[in-house]
Amino acid sequence: MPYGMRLEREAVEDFERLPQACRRRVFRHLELLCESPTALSRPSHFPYRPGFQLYSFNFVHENARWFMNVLFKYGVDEQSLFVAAIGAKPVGLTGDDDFSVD
Amino acid sequence: MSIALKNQVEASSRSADELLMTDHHDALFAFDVEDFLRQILDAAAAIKDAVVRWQRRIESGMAFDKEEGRSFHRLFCRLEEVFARTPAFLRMVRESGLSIQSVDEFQAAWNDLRAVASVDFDRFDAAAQAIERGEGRALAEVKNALWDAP
Repeated sequence: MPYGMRLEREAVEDFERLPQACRRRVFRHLELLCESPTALSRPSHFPYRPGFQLYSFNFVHENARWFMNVLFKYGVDEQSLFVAAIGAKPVGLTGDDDFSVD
Repeated sequence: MSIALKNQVEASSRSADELLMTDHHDALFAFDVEDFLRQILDAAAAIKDAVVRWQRRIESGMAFDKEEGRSFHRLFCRLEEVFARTPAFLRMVRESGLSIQSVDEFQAAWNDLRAVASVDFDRFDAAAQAIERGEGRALAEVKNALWDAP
């Protein structure tokens, strides 16, 4: 049974800033996250109150590799995920890209 | 927030400045780059450990100090800038026909730093407080609104 997901205003604004093609990819990744949050995420080191998880992924779009980081928290009902932020960092594809990807 | 951590990060930045001024890229340069990698990886680990210790104290009842969190965030961002300069040195070593041992570890640490640096602290704080109030829009609703938006 997939988790439900709610996005805070800031996360929605993060979405709105993305190019359409990137937005669609991120939607698909969020749907994957709802299916398997424990497998796809890990505790975050974001310097805030403890309790947030991090889901990281990347993809290539128009000569840049986009590094995406979704910060979320499990709901108290343990059936929902609350997304606080969707960090995006595009890095131009150069030889240096070889050193930035796992 | 630790003065030692701040100095550790600034020292890494100065090391990057000096490496950039090196005009011979030979085996000695490769050793210098390897040492530099170790320096920045140790700095990244030190910041993460400090955040974990700070969060444990919050879990044990210490009041959450937003300014402390903001200071840590600035440190992560500062170190991420140093990491972003590093591929140029790695490429110089590679072009000399030499190799660096710690590249995998560097990639993993850089990904972690980038994850923190790509999120604005104050906006995250606002979102976290909204989560506490039970706010938020369902994913399906957001997807319907933004899927075809330009």
